Amino acid sequence: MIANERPLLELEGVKKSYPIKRKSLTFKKDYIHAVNGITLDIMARETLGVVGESGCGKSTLGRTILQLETLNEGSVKFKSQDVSKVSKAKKMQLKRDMQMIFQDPYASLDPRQKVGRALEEPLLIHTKKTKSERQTKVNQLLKEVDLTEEHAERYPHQFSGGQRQRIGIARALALDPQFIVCDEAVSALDVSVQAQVIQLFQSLQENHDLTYLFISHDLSVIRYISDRILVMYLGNMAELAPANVLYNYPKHPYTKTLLSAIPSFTVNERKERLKLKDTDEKNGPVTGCPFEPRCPMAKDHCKTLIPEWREINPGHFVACHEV
Amino acid sequence: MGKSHAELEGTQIVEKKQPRSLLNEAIRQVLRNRLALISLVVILIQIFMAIFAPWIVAHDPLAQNLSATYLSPGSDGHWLGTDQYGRDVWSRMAHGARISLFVGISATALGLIGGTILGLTAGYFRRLDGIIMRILDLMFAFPNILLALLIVAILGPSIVNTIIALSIWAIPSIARILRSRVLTVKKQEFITAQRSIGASYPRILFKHILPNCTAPLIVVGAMEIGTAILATAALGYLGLGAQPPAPEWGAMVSEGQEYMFNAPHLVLIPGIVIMISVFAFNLFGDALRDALDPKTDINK
Amino acid sequence: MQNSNENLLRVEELKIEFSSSKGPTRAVNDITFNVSKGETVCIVGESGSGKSITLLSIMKLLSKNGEITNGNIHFQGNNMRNLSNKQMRKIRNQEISMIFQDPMTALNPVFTIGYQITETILNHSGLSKKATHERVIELLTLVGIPAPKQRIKQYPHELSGGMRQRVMIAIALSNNPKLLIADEPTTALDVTIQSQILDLIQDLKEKFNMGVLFVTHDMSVVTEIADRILVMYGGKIVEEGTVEDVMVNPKHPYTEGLLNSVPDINRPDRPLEPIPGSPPSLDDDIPGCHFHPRCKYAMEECSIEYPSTFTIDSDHHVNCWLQKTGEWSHHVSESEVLYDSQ
Repeated sequence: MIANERPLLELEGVKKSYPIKRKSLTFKKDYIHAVNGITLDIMARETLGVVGESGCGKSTLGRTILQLETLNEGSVKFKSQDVSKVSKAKKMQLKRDMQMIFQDPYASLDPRQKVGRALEEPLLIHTKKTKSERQTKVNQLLKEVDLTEEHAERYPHQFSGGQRQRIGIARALALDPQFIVCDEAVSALDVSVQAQVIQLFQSLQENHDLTYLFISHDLSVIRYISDRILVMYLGNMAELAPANVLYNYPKHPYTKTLLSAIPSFTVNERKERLKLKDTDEKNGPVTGCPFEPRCPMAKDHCKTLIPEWREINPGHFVACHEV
Repeated sequence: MGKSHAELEGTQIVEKKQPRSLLNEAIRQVLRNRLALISLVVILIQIFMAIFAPWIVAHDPLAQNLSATYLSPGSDGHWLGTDQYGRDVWSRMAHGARISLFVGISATALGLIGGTILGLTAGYFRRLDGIIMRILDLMFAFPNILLALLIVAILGPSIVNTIIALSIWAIPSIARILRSRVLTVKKQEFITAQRSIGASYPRILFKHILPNCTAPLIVVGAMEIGTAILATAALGYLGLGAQPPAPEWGAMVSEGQEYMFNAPHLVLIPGIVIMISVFAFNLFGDALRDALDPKTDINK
Repeated sequence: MQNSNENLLRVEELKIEFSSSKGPTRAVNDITFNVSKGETVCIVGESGSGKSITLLSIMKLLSKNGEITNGNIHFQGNNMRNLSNKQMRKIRNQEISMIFQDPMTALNPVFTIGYQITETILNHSGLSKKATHERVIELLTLVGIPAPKQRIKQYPHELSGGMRQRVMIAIALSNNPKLLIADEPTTALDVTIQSQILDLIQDLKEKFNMGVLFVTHDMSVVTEIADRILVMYGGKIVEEGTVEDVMVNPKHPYTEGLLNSVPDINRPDRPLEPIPGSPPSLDDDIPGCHFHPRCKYAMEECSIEYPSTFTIDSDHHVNCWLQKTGEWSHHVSESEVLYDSQ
């Protein structure tokens, strides 16, 4: 990473909350904070991994960056432009620059649309290319993801899961984006196919200078693909560090718990695991550290003080009082 | 690795799956179902009767012959007998099929158009959902036949007004089915994917959501034709549909019931035909649903 | 091989066919294996390998178009193919229990969890109401659910995924089964909860000397819990052996490929080596060895004849022609720098 380079994406205190229905008749709404103040920079050509348990807000974060969800507070800047405050024409350009790849390759393609047509669609929306130009681009895209021209004439249900995910990737590439959110993009694939797609992601990154926000719950995959990793807990940032640092020297108790839970590849050896405290209160206390109710190391002041987001080593950030 | 990924997977797929359209597959499935096949034949016979009515009957449906009234079925030259004015029942039935099918199909078509517009709007645009659905609820709460009677009473009894009344009758159920379908399709990831590539609302709505709603529309359409035929007969029976002497099945039942005891065929023939016709459309609709569902189920 | 007295479950030459509009397709093709008391056997495979179907056939829960066309399933010496549905219902949940992948849908949302556990106990035993109630609380405590007395009044939607899977396990254990069958029970769960559930299954196995038949696609889970491993591909068992044999010294190219295509958390620098292509679907008719179109060592004979079984060790068997010549040994790639654990 070059230090004085301007980041591609700058997130500043991003918050997204959803109203949840209340039983009472008071019309007062409760909010669930899916993303609760995320501040970080994403540099060009890096892969930032985001891990956390289900419901920690990692998917919502990706969607908020792409403006598929409107954020409640904070700002997202792409190349120093605030994405929520740009003109309509610029907005279309942003849609071209930022793309998304989804988890479920079965659900993310229109079952009624031939593959060639699905790949052509972004070109129809955003470019004035002629039919033959679009055709050429579609064929080029298919080749790029290791499919062939004949595949354009087929419907999604005629493909295997891995091939469908390749089509999803080709569609995301159609507009030559710079930034791609991969939301659990390999989680639904068969083991042997997963590795193919991971390698495809890596080679595409090299060939197209892509920047990835790679969301996954799979800690091994995240480690393999990411340059830096953000650990999220209930919408909050717990720890952020370069991949090797995070896995070798985890500081946040939550990160430590996650890592200790990974099944080891070691035969017949049970790992010593850190146990989280059980709690009914999933939303955590409003006053203190959000992780406090389940933290095995919690002290009294954790209940009342929100931990600061501190840089303990260059590039290694953590939000915990006890570090 | 030797073989490239594409080569390998490509050959596998070509060998095992021929591209086949969903509709094709549905038709194949329907043809495999015996009941559906019978109902399809009944429907086709009806359509044939309606189209070729003037050529397949020997008598004018309106021509009276007072010397040959109340002939029972099987009589010479009148195989379904004659009515109180000596009109040929077979030719009246065949011409009646024209009215029934015409009203049934056009009312359903209009209902489908109206229902689709309302259903799509309600399903996709949250803000309009409440208003549209409450209006539809209101229409649901109103007895259908009463609604049709009211419309016909205001507009005056005629075939065109029957069509209008019946299409309004059909709208709420079509709109409601479509809305729930839109709500499901809308949540699918491929719609989010469209949004993320910057597709406009009309594009998403008409190119992606509507095509994925065709299966339930086709099914409900087939069923509604049956319902509309029945309703046409009901309005005809009440004297509010096609006006005499037009050969309308419902009106024929109503006219015939006066002579029910000495010439029961005047009631039985149109009555049974109405039943068979409606039954055929409903069966066919059911079979279509079975045939279309598994293939088009995006939740699969 | 184990002494036949210890054999809890023995599956012999099992073949399962599914009828479809395109004719019969063979989902499971001639598989044989044992599960002993106190042993965890893992079936590893990808989609379409027939692993889940094998489990369902043991429970006699195959869907209507699926049929066992050949082979036998012996449970404690009794041939289960001869059992009536009524006898089978008795065995299910009393002798053999099954837990499923998705704890969200396997519980009925309109009943409290206490009621649902009670129901399974009452179905199978003559316990009094009070004794049953105590048993429910005992079971919930056993599977590590905190405050069981309050929990029994809760509905499934009030519990988290991990808690629900624990409830499922409690239901499965309610009648002290001798064999526990688990179909990817942790795939839908978060990693912290996965580890708890795996530990729980291991503990309970040791405590009750249960046999466990565990299906998964996750190689790291397998390594952690299995005593023996069956690797399935295209409806056949292609390699079988103890966990040490299979994970450390894989003899089938598919097993090797699987191991090389998962990132190893302890060796992050090891490059991935994916297997090309995708797993065959049920209606693919591949001559010879099913894996040969994807196999980098494929030889001429691989596309002609299905490989016979070669015995590596007493417990380690593999179906691959490479063993005939004995030229091939495994190529699990090593990273240059091993992970330095702290």
